[in-house]
Amino acid sequence: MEYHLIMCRSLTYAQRALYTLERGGVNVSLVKAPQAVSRTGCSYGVRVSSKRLQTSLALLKAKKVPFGKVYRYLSGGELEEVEL
Amino acid sequence: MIYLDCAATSLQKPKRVYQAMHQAVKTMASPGRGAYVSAMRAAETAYLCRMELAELFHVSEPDHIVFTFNATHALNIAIRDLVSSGDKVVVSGYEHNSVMRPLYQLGADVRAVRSALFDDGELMEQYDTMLNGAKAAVCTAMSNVFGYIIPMYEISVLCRKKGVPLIVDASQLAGAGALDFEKLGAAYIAMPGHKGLLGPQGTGVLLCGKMPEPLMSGGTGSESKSMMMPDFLPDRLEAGTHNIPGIAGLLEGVRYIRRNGAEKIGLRERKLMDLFVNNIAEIEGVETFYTLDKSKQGAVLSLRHESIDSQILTEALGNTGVAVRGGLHCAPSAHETVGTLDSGTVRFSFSPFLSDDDVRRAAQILKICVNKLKT
Repeated sequence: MEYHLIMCRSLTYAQRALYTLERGGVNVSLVKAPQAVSRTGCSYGVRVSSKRLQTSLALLKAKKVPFGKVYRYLSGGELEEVEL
Repeated sequence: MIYLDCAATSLQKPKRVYQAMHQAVKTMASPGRGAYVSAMRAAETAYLCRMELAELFHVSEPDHIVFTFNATHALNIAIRDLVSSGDKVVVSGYEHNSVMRPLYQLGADVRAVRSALFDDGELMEQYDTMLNGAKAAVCTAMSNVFGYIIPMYEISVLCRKKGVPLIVDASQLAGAGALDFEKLGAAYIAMPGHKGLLGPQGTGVLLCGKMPEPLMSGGTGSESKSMMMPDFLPDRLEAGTHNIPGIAGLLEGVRYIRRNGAEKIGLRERKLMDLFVNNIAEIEGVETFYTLDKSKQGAVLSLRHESIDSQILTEALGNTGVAVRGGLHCAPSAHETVGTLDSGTVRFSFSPFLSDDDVRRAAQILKICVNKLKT
């Protein structure tokens, strides 16, 4: 299964994203973002199935939950930024 | 002991509060510091508490709920964000020192509305005049000395009309009455966790309608490369390690309030106070500060005796198993407004966990103490 990471500026924003997506029927997990993509230091994000990425982004936008960049998990665990 | 000092701290809590705190000490680490199970469990507890508080007080987003150490801490953040030296600030004549001292320390031009107890008309008239040219306004939602429920919604309408940001100190009303952040439109509402919200000491909450300057700086587990505090809530105001056992207890206290209804709890407490007042009516020389109008007074009752010192009566009650507070209750301004600054008062404040028998017994003990001390 392929996954995407939706970055959030803080733990609380990531938790808002988590609860919003769960309520919207999306399976999601909260993760501490890898240092390589934590531009400002420490960041959190939510990991979603790639198939549900567009639904997830639409839900977050609709509920006005702030989020940052989006990355795709590569096979080695590395992350590749996705242009939205 | 019959505990009648809930205006200071609610001593009796729902059982789940104690259990949650015990569990948190054993199983929870710090939120925002790691991604392992015990850290994430702590993070979830904090977030659930924010969500419950947001629901209870009608705050649109849980990140606008900031955890503080107590109401004083929350009020200091709010006041220091809005007030600078020399600024005119209008306050009710019933404020606690947690409002007055920060204002005086900042060198604000403090104007207190000295209106008669339970007289909303006079209070509103004075606010209307005094708010002109004010930089900020502060009002307690309910006096910690006299239980006077200040017409904060009317004050907030006036403040909006005149473009004056309002800070509400909800220390006594939170958990015992309706409090709607959106309807109020205040800049900030501050409250402790350990009174009506039935959480433990060392917890407080600030509801934020704007982005304040931080009172403290430090680690937040976010934007760590920056030497400045984050520009988003709640991180901007929550430097350092959270009081997770306290927040876990507070979460259960708030859940209890939401299950039972804040207004219902307030009415139950008020009914107990009415029973107490009826049972002490025949004690000679006692002056109670009381109104039958339930919309104007919550379950906090002050009284004084014509010839017995308030502190001596308080001590006698304490020695006989009735826990109350005497003196000025850290609110000399409220006493100045009502004219009790020299005598102080004995304050009885009621909890939903008291029985009618507790209250009748406390009234009986008061009668005995008064009879003993006046001879």
